[in-house]
Amino acid sequence: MSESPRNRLSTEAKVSTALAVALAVLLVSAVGVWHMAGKLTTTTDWIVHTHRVLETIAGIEAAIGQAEATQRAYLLAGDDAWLLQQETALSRLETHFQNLLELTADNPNQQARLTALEPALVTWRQVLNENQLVRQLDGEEAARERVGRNLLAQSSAAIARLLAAMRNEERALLEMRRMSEATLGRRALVWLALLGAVSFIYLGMLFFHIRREMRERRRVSEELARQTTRLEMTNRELESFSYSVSHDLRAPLRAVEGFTRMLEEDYGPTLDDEGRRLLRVVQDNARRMGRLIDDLLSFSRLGRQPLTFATVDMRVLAAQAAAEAGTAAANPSLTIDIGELPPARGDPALIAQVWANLIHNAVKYSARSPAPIVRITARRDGADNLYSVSDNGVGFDMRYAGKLFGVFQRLHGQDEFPGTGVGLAIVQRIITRHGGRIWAEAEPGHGATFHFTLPRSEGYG
Amino acid sequence: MARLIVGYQPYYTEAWSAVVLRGRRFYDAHLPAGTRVEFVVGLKGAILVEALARGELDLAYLGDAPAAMALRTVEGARAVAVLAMSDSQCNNMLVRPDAPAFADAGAAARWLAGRRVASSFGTCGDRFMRTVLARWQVAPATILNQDKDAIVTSMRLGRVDAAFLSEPTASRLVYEGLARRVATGADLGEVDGGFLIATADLVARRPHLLEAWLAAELDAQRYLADGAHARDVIGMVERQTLGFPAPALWQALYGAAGATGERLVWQFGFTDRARDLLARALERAPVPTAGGPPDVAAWIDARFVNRVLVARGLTAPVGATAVQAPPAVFEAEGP
Repeated sequence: MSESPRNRLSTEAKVSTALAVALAVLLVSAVGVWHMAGKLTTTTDWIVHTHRVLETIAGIEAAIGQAEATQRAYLLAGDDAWLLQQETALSRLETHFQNLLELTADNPNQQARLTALEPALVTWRQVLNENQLVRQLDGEEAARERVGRNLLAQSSAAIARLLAAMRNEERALLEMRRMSEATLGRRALVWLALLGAVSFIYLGMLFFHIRREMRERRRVSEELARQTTRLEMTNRELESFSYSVSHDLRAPLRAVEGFTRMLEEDYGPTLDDEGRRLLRVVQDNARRMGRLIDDLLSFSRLGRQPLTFATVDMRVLAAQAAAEAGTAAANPSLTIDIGELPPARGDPALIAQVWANLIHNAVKYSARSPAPIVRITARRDGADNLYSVSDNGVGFDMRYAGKLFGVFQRLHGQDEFPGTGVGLAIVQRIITRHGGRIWAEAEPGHGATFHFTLPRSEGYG
Repeated sequence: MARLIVGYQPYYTEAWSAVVLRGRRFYDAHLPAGTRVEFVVGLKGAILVEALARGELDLAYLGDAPAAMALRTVEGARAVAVLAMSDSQCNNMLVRPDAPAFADAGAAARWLAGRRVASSFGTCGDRFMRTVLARWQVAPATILNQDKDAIVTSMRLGRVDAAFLSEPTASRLVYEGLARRVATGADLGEVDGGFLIATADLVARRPHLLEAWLAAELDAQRYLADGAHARDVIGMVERQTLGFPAPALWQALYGAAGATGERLVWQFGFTDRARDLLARALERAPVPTAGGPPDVAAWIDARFVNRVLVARGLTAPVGATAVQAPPAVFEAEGP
């Protein structure tokens, strides 16, 4: 049964998508709440503003009342101190009037009423002034007579009407704004409740989903650990078996070698040529089998041997291996060219074996060239160093490159180029255990190049 | 949130920088964001002095006489800036229209003997009246204590013979044909002027607000000194006053009245002329002092205006409002 695309999504992708959706929901909600809060604040500001307008209207009325009261006191007592009180009240009136002009600048109806209020106030002031003048020049009786004509009340009635109209309009506005505030408040509450519910449900779903994913991941992880343990046990058993087999094979092999040597020494002269040739074949094969067992043991040990990391001077190790290979080859026309090799982090003994195997192979497979050349170079490759050993030998067909690093895998016959077929397997195991990679490039008749990488040594190369 | 309460007099020309400040909101550019400014109208300086004393104001725009009164009576108050100075803003003597033509100010003053005179007690106009009466040793029959608006009514009803009062009311009386201007400070060598008075609390505890306000005050004074803003200025004053015709306001600020072609000189800083005026006002203030004449320097705190002037690269005075013909539309309207 094929898996649906949805199921193929990784847990990370699912969680990321879920969180992105959650963030988007929160963002949209935040914008909504911000927008609503803005509208609510604006409405509340307008309510406060309306209260200020109403207070200012009340302030004008109070100032008018105070001015009239202080004038009555002045008209009775004739004391100039009341005049200052009256002027203070009139100053308050003008302060409130100016404030009202500014506060209602947005309302043409109220501005029109204020325009009408100004001459009414001027007329009212005129009556106040005339009352004062009568008191100052004509005395208390004349002033009383004038007050009795009720001129001030007539004048202030016009003002009161205008102020009442202003107050009524502000009260209507206040009522409207309060209703708007209440509506917005209810909407905000509903919105917040809805948002809370959606968030709760969504987060709950997300929680359960993540919990399920985590449980599944833990189960897979535990299964993986169990399989790894089983594999490790199997590997150990295999290595142990391989070691035991190799080791146990040596005893009968030693017996074969010993008895063939005794046979050659004791009965050699009695054998004819064919008998001696067959004896040598037995001896050669016994020795070759001994080498095979040695290599197999080495390969087997590599899996268990702990690595001892140090900074490895690759040029020194390559030079030592080249010297040994050159000596063994005893070919005066052989050239081994070693370039700049940066140091690496690794187990020095094992890395030395890598160089030895690769250079030995290069020397071996280029031995039939008229002028064998082995080049050893290196360069940076990302976080690693890339080392290469190339030769101008027989090369190989890249179709068989996959077999190169298998145990006992050989691309050339034993008669052509002797060997056990374990060397490159050992090299690959060493490089892999160091966290590196190894591969080869070649062409039949045009040589081969083996590349391997190792992590760069800190502070070097 | 910082709050600043400013008392000002829209009916006093030398303090119109406050009208411009309010109209143009120059303070927005200088005060810290969110500072709330409240304006309190005073129909005369004495009302603002009382408000200062009650702790209801932080700053007050006052004429020279009320300024001296504030300094002498409000604990810790200081003159922190100078407004405009002139010889014919407070110092105006007006007589009823049918009064005889006078050869000079002295003749006009002598005509007051035995007559009814009105002034608003405690104002700088009142201070000028007392100077005139003292100079020519004149005793009117009655001196009525009336606010400026009441004086207009009295003149309209023909019940007083003369009045001493500041601009723009003096120009209103002339414009409406209710009075003739017969003497100004120019005739007596008397100057007048306004001062900005700050409370001790503002100076000591909120000096940053004071300095910011003074920066805005400087903007306003320079705006007023620029004749190109005349129509705008008159518009602002008209909106902030009740019952004043625009041509009368124009006459008060831009009409010829005194001795020079400059109607007002905006001082801002404490020039020698301003210090002399304040010193004389302090001497005349009706508050007894011990130990001889007061030292004017003790009532002046010029640190803030000096800093503002240095910051702008200016010196006091900062400008003058020149006499300017009224726009044709005013001429056509008539009183």
